[in-house]
Amino acid sequence: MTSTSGGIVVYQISTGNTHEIATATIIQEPKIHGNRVVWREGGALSAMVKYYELGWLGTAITPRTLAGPVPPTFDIQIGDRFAVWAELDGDWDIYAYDFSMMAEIRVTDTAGINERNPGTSGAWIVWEQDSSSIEAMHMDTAERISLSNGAGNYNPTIDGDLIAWETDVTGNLDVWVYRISEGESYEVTAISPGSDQYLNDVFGNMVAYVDMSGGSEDIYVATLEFIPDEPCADFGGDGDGDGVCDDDDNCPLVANSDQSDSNGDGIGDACAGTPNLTITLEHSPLEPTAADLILFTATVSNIGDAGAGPSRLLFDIGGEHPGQYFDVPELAPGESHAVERRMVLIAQNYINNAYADADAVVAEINESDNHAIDTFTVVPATLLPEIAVAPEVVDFGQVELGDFATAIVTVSNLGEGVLTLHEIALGDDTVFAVEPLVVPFDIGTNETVDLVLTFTPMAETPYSSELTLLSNDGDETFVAVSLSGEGVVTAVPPSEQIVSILDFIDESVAAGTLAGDGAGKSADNRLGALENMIEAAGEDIALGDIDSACGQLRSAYRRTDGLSPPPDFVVGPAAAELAERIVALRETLGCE
Amino acid sequence: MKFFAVEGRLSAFAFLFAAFFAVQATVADTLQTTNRRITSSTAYETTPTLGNDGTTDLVVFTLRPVLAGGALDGGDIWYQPLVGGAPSDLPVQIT
Repeated sequence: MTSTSGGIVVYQISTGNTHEIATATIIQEPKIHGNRVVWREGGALSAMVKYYELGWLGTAITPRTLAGPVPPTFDIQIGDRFAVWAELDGDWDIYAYDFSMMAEIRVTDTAGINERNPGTSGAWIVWEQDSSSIEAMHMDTAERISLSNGAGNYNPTIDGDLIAWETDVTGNLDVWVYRISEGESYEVTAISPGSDQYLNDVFGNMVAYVDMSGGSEDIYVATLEFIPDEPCADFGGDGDGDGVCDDDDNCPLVANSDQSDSNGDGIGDACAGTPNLTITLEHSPLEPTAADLILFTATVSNIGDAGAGPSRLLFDIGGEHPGQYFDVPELAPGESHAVERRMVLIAQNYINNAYADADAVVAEINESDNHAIDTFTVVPATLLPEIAVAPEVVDFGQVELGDFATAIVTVSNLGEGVLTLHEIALGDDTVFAVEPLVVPFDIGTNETVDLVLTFTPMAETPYSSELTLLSNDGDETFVAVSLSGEGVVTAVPPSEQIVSILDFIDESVAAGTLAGDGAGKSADNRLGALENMIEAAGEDIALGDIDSACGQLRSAYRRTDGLSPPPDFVVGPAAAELAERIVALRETLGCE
Repeated sequence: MKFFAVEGRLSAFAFLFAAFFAVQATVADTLQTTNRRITSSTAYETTPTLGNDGTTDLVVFTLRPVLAGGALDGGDIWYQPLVGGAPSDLPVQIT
């Protein structure tokens, strides 16, 4: 910043200290980048561009003159490589000082055209030309950018890949940015139509600017996020990621960005050799009756001469709509994948359909053989079964870990024909089980069978599953019973734990697995003292003095934990379990 | 609104060509902006300059209070620490 006495003052943010690095009668436009400060010094007709390399440690360095005395000079800026400014040498032109070359450069030399307001970042220098276009030049490659829109364009700033500037193309000043790498322009301040945004500065992914719509000039900062567009979104995607959209790709499942097609047949060379999926449909038994469980099989085969990627099979039985989808894995040439469905159908003529590659994701040599049809008739049954299951929801409730609960589900045949259970299945969760029943299992008319279910929780958590019955009841081929239950652990009350610990001591002493530890009578005294601690804890619990109980139990534990000091009061194989029981009681009480 | 970016200075012909070229270009990324008001006093805050002091982003600006008659007082330099383009602490007056 400039000081009131006509000098350059640098403020160090980390320390709050100020350093005056230059003094002169006329000093203006100080700019800083990294450790370099640049400014204009002297009168309008004989200005000098000067700079100072900051040492931060107070070492005085005489400011260096980059240019001058020079004609009227304004708009000084500095970047990591260049200091730039505009000089009135007949008309306004852009000049630069290259710190890497330690040389002054004339950037523009155009008669009758005014270039002003330069900015710089890296090897790029950007400027405003005749208030109508934004120009930029890469000083190493001479790459040139010109941004125009028929309106006024002003005050470019640049940082890295972004050029920001102001334009009045919409009738008032707005801030725009241009991405050099992408060659695209974007409006930054579209949210404020009707008001001016100006005096921009771009840095990283931020652009600062001034807006006066609040009644006085205020500072705004816009953060920019460039969201990549999917160029193939409307053209079938790009399944092989080769940059050619699937709608135009001559081999959409194999990356071939060159799209080579030597024989010109429309199929890329990378797809020479093409998969070909075909499908067959079967059912068993061949002449089913209404009482039969029919097995339907759809087989997808790759009869082509190249591997087929994953596909999907659409398989509908008896004209059901829309049918069911099944995933088909990759199939090498000659490989097949079979999908089975089972169903009971009442007497009627049926048409089954199966479509290989239902999503058409495999580029095949021949799509016409992807559909198979199976027509058949079910022989009517004169007497039909009718399944009834009760209950249809079984809740085992809360069951203690280590325990189990049982329930019975009754399957009845209310029809006139024999009911056959073909499958009794449970979900994957092994905590539920059903008593084995050999299938197929026939249930005569008006007869029942009880299925015994058990629930054996393995963890302190809720469980749910489903029991599925597959039968020859044509209108209820699958019947499901919902199962639920919860494993729980019921805490033993502290008073009962006290009694249990004392009983454990008595039983262990009687069994010879626990004894007092010490010489002579001190052994019995120590055992008695330990029992007294536990009894005292029991009394504290009864009185509600949990803190005192915890203290007693802590002392008792330290006399049983096998560590010294203090020495243990008991010895024997049961001492460790005694210590564990004391710890468990402390946990029940919530002792710290 | 499309800006026309070409190499070299635009002639009338080049201008038209630039317009055609821009329409044929590949789909551009979408810009998503978050615009935050950093100052909101009755004073005039202007000449923002963005930077980073090695610890945080910040925007340095000039603040000129409005005097009783409506004129602007002399300016002081302030800076506002930023995180993600949003103020992260109180602004600091350095002059």
